[in-house]
Amino acid sequence: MHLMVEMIRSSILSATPVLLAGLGGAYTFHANVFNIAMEGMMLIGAFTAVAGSYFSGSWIMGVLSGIAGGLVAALIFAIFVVSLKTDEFVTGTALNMLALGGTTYSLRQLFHVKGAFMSHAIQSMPRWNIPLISRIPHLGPILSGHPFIVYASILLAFVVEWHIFGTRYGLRLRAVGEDARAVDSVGVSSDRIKAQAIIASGVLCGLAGAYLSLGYVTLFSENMSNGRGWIALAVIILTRGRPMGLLLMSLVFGLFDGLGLSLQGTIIPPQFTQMVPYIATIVALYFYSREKRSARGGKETPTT
Amino acid sequence: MKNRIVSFALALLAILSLTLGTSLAAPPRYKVAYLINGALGDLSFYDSGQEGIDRIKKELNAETRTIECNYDPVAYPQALQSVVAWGADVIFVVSYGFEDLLMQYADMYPEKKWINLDTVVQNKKNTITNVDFIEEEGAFMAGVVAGLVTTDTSIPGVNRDKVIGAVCGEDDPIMRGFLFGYEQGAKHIDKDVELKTIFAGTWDDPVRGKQAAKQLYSQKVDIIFQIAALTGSGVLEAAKEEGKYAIGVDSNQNGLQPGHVVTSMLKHMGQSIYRVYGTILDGKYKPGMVLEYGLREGGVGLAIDSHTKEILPAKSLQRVIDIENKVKSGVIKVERYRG
Repeated sequence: MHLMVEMIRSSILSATPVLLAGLGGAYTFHANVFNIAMEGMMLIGAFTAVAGSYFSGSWIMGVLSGIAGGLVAALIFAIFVVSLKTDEFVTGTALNMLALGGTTYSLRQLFHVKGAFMSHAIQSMPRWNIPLISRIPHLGPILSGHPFIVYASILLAFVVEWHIFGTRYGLRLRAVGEDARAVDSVGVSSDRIKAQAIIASGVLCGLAGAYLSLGYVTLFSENMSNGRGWIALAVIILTRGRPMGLLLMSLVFGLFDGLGLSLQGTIIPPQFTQMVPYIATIVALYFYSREKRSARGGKETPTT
Repeated sequence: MKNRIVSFALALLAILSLTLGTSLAAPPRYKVAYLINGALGDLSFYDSGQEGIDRIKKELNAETRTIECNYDPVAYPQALQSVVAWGADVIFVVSYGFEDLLMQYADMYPEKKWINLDTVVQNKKNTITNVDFIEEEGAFMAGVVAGLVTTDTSIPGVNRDKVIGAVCGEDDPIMRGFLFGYEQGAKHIDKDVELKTIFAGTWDDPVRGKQAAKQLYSQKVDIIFQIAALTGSGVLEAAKEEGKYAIGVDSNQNGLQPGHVVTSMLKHMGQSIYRVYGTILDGKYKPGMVLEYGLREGGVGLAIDSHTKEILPAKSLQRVIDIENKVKSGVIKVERYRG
């Protein structure tokens, strides 16, 4: 396979977890919940997915347990943030630490290994070979042969776009983000919508985790989310929670992620190429912000 | 947070050992600490060291403690302090990232036996003994295997281009030493072999390791040497998926993806720890030494087993063994990497 083909192919693969978590985070973004717990939810999802797949021998159970893992993490977050009104930032940080420590501990207790758990008993997600397209040279390997979640997540971007911006529920969700009291005053519980948004983000982050541990690779290793939840948070803020923008930006991120690795064959030192995805994020942020300011007449400071 | 838990646990252990300890006193019962900058569970380097520690505990009546720092610089001084507070007699330490601190502590406590593993650290009072693995020799043998694989198109999946790869963790002098030896080994087989390297920039991201490996395989690479701890488990997976080959590192990883991991380059941390501890017991130990453990000393080597024989033709395997013997006897000299 040609390097260029491999790079575009891998950019789609590495964009998927960021996109999935980002779509989940879009709900909380619009409900004005500062959700920094995505990293932890993803990590828990990755762990429970591997555990589910290993013990049941079925990848479907694995994916469902991944979602369940994310869901449980989200419920904890929702109880604290929505019912008990604790600080989102503190709760999110705590949840992330709990996720890292908890999965590491469970890995040792459940599988009696440290570091990474690999086993042939873990069933990975099947890959979809799309008939006809898979035979086109170059384009075939880019578009075909991915785990089904890759296709599902692209489809999901459109669904979430419609859900948030095209339905009555989406309108209420965004209204909660604008002014929760106004929503309460017309008899709709803003707390309920906030909790639902958090749960949606948990489900999608859990799915992102399951994709990491059963789709991209077939193993669990400590801290395997490795910052992807944070990247998703950055992408959400960058695109103001627009799912179409999320789709585009996560692909751009995926491409730069791969580019960072392949540029190493040149004279550029590896320490520099490792910064490429993050520099690209900052540059994108700059252009986005500049565009935003000129559209508003350059006076307003951006609000988050 | 983790540090606090560790130090709390240590405090508890210290109290326990005070109350319970020394009741089973038998001939020289030294307190031996194994202090590592990283964490156990890498299935390779650190775990191999732990095997040695477990062995001296079981066979040589040592009392042992392991302290993991999880690559957290804040934990380094605490870890050193707690080792001293515990009253360790012998300290095996992987000090990558806190060499200066180690020198200070060794100067402060010159009566303790400090054994620094994998790098060379010399303090003012020259009390630190160093175990310096000649990784170039081990990597040379890995390169020999890689060279034999990439030039042999009768092995399924091997293309005509003589290109080999390596996926490393972060860029540091030890990695450079590995690559230097690896390339020499491959060129020993065929001068035209080309090496392509990717630094993943992380030791614990198998997703990234897989991504890097797939990029290399797409550039006509037949076999990849993974020198990247947990990141490397993704490399082994990519080898299986692409129907190509990989070489493991630090512990025998041949069975992790059977039929695709040709061999593994081992750093025998455990054996080296056992060996050094033996010199302490029989009184041959001298502080301030630099012990260079290469192929001949059994500090490094290749894991050759049934998985290797499944992939590598007998003729090639014989050649690997011949070359290994020549390196051991000094007929072939492997050049060492100098910064």
